[in-house]
Amino acid sequence: MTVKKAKSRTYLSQEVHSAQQTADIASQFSSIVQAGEVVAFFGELGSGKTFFIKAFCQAMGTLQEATSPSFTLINEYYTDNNLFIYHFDFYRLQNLAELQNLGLDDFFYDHYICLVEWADRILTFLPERRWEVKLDFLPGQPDGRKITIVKKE
Amino acid sequence: MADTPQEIILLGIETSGLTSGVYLSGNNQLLGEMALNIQNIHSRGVALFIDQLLKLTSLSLPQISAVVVSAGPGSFTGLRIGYSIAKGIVHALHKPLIEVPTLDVWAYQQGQSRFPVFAFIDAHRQEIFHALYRWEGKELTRITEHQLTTFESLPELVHEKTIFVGPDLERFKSQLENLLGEKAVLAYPIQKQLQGWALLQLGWQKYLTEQFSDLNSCEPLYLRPFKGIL
Repeated sequence: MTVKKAKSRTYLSQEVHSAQQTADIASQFSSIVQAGEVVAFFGELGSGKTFFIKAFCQAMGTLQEATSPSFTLINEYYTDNNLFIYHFDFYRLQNLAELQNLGLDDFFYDHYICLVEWADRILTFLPERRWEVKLDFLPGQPDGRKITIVKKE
Repeated sequence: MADTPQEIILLGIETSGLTSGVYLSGNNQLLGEMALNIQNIHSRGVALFIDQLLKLTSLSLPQISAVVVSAGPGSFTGLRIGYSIAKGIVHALHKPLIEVPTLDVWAYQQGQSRFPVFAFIDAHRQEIFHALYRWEGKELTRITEHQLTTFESLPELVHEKTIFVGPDLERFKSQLENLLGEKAVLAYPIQKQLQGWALLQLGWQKYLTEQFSDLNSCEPLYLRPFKGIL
């Protein structure tokens, strides 16, 4: 069996200093993500993953406002033109059985956009081809973040 | 006066992939079918189709002799919806449940052939669910287990001219030809949907030989072991 290692290509690496700048990047990013793609989010608690996703979905024109699915694990949003976005949050994931019951592959390998918070908790279940968005705090700047967006293919 | 033999009514359910399909047969003749090939429809479509199809064929649920479910492999969520509905009906009606592996249906609906038949379904992650079949006269025999292997290992599994069938054939056509050359036989027109008549005919064979499933223990053929690290 040949195991192909995914190649990484950096799409963006930028420091931002306000929530608005983060929202602008999320909005810009939403114009290049295609149906069928998975976006994995990495970042500490409070780093702005859900905020980024809210702005992303708003720019996509979802009929629902994105909210954190910490307790439900998955939220579903859709647009007027029938694009489905699935928003996952694995912060409170307890065990493998919980994950098994979700049928993740049905989401990850279909014509949806999947946005995955706390993706580091389910790394081995993610498709190799994916976007990765990383949000890091900038020391001493409450609204400052370093945003890195990478495409793995 | 002799009793009129009771008609055997089978209700078929397919949710293993994109298709949400509901089918009815009476004494092994297809009475009707309703199917949609669109996303996110299983949970809304199947129960509605059952209701509509029964009304249109002037039948009622208690008249059903058994439920035939397309058993996978395939979509995890789709199969769970199909099984939930099938189990719900047979439990309520005290009727038998018949499971027919989805790959068997794909091989069967292709029809008799002198070549072996390789039925496969995309399992993602460069893997496929598959099984190999051979026609012996009018009998289709599965000669391998239902399996999960990498697509790239196909040359180790296929040693002669073989007909390929399955819902993802169109998408894998050129890869198959590249990997296997003339050994990959594609029957045209390429079938893209599982056929209700084929599901019900295989179900009928199981009905006649009373190959019924245990309601408490049966589950879809997922085939992929669930493993990973949290």
